[in-house]
Amino acid sequence: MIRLDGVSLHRGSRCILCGLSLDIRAGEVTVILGPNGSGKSTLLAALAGTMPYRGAVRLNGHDVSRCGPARMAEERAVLPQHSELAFPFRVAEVVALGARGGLAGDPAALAARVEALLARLGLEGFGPRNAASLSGGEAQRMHLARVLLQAETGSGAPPWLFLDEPVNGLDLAHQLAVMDEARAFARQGGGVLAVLHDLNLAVRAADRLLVLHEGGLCADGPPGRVLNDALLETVFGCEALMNRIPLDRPFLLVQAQANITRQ
Amino acid sequence: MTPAGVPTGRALAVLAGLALLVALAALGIGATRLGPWRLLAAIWGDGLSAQERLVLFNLRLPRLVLGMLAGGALAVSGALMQALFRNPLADPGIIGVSPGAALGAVIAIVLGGAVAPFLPFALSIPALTILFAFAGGWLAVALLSRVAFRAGRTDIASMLLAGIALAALTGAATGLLITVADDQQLRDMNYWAMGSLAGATWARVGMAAAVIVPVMALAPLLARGMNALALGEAAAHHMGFRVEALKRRAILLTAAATGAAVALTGGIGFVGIIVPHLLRQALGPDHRLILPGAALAGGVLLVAADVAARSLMAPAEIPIGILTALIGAPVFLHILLRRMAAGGGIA
Repeated sequence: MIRLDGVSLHRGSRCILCGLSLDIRAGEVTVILGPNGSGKSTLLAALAGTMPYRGAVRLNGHDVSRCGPARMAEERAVLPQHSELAFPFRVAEVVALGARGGLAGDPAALAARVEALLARLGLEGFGPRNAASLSGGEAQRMHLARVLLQAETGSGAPPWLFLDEPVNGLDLAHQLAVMDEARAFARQGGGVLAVLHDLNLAVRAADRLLVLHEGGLCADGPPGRVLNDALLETVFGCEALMNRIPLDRPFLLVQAQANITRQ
Repeated sequence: MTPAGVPTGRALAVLAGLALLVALAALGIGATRLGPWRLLAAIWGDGLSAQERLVLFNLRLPRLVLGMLAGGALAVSGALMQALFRNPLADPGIIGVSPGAALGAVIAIVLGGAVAPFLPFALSIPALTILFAFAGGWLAVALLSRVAFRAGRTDIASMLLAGIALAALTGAATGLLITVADDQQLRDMNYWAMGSLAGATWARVGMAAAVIVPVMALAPLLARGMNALALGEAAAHHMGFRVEALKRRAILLTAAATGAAVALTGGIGFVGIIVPHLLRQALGPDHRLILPGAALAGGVLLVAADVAARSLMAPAEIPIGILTALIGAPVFLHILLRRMAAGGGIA
């Protein structure tokens, strides 16, 4: 459980999120939505312990502002939008960097766990390859394997996965693969908090949507209840068709002649 | 096994074998030739004339040990700088750490004489030189990291420019100090600026060991953090490392090792870039191997270079700093060209 109590975030002197109070539950995928500049990634960074905030955030009962990086790393793993690599590590080495606790000191068990994770993410046999030679999609799945390993081997109860725009630059199949992995993680009791831009992907992946707009939470709930034409227009400033056929979940169809008026 | 597929034991055995070979060469080659069997016999304390014993135990052995220590210190400093600035081209000499240490050393050499009579016995001029070189190196890295780190990223261009400014400042200050130095100090400075192991004495070896051995022992403790840092500062933080503390420790160890090496052996460049580069090629980039490996391989390389410097133009001696630059600068350009070809550039 993540509990926010009167959380405010500032960019310079400007308040970009003011007095946010809510609970985020494990066992489901929570997706943060909002237009550019609404503070999505900033909120995620604050909850991850890398951004100062006012108010109180408790992650699995721990006061985030008082936790050192080691404690935070036990409770949550973070997949950034882009990852860098300064030296030509092998794929298996990069994934193994995520290991915590006893597994980190047991090379044989660690290698087996890394191989299994790579296979699960469609990277079977990639272990010995130079990580710098991977395509964007392969690299992102490699880093997903790394953060999954951190979440699995951390002592967090439940473990949390924070995904900051995890599918940027990925093709459709890899977008779905990454978010399906996140759903599987939540099904096993873990908590998933993701920042996404693609509304349709958010609808597909999320159990709960948090929509940020103008310094606050303007909608909160399951995708079917939250997303509607009025929200699209007020929050994202665009007119587009929100369809519900053939599923009960909404999907967005931006047609060529749709009249887009950014506010 | 290392991830590169090289068994760790075998890698260390190869390095130890190389160390033994260069040690035999360093102890045996010179005006007084001593073959491997005579060196072995010397360990049991017989078979050598008094003069041979003097050459072996008072000249060559301290020179060998100082070379192993200084080479290891420079290589470990290079590996730490490269991990810290997340760039395989960061060398203490190129980015201004050695120039900073050199400035400190020159100040100590020239002004030390004036304050020496008032110092406690333990702070002899060489010890003062190490202390000032450490302070100069530390100031240089501290300044560089202020310039280079911007919002968790490393700005290589700014860092190089700051390094150039530091080198210029060092040159100017050294020139200024030369005008006030006396003859003995001039000889000390000149001899020292070219870089040499020729002045090795057991006293100097002791001072080098007191600083460098702890650095070599402590550096591998940073290895896991340095590996994580390869993914960026934010990622290292997310993986549970105290990034600021990690950086401070790497800077402190680098300043200490570079300071001691520069103060005692002068301007020997490029060891910090050649050795980690070769080790990464052979063993992969895991700092748990690179940092201890560099401590050993740096010494091997510097001693081998010293043997070459003594014998290539014997009886004249090529300043070793010139030899390491002759080898190191092309290696540097080679890495740079390969990075350019891969689309990487300096950053």
